[in-house]
Amino acid sequence: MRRLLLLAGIVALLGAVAAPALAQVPKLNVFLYVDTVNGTRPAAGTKPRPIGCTQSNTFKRGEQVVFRIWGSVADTGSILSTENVKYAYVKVPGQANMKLSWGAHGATTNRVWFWTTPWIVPSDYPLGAVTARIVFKTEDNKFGNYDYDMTIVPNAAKKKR
Amino acid sequence: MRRTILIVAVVMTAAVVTAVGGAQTPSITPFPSPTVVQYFVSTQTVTAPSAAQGAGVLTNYFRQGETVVFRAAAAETKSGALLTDQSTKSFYVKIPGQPNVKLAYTAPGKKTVGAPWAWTGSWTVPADYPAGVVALKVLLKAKAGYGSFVQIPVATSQLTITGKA
Repeated sequence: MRRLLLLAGIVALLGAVAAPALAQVPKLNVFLYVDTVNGTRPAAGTKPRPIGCTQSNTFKRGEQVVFRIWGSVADTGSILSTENVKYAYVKVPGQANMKLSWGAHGATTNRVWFWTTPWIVPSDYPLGAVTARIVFKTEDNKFGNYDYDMTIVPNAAKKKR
Repeated sequence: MRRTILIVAVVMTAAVVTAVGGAQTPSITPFPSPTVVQYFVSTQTVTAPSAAQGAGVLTNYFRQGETVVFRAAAAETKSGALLTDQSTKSFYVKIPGQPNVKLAYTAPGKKTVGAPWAWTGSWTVPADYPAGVVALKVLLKAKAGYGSFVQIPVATSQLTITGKA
């Protein structure tokens, strides 16, 4: 009987130690990949970068940021598309929500579909770190949220008009 | 009567053709595939602490001799659980002509919004590495199977090596 009690005690102790470790593993309902590239259509008077659509998370005022996102629903593995997404948008502090569009991108010989939205950094947007919130809601009411960090820097070199 | 039957038949045929056409959308190619079967894998390339811009700046352009830092996250389809070193057998970046870059795990803390970049690895581009786009793959093996990451096929946004400054 004592042995049984001792064994039960050890098992309970191991369970108590293991449980917090297991509970710390976060679980998501929707998986998201997010990046940003420079758009080729900055604000008037802002010099475009030499190459369009390069990855960056540092942007000058007046430059065009393009958010690119793809993802999947955790339990089914289905890719997020207009078939299973109720709404999707990007929220940048101080700006109106920007609706994400599902569309084709890339070379004509290898076009693939993912979500995008452009944003031109206003000329008076606060400088420094900014966190954009990406929100997806699926048709079966699951949410995918993603906080994306960027840096806004001054636009020192304005294109001569 | 014959005309009515003919019209009904034409309308029904058109409806069937439309329904079949509507069900199929062959022109849509979701990236990276219509479904993620076992594991979702996400990867980005950022600058190293030695870079002029400082560490952690997102970019896909690196010069020969510079260090590329890969940061990655992975999660299990069905359960939604983020992978840890306990649930992962191997996780690495495969770069043409180079040894595999093993990704190492660091517990991400309590952040659950966004990608907790729990996995990182670095690659210093050899001085003689060919300039151009690097067709990298990130490969994962875990308890329930496999996962992988490939770059969005937009050439200017893929990892690119340029000549020395």
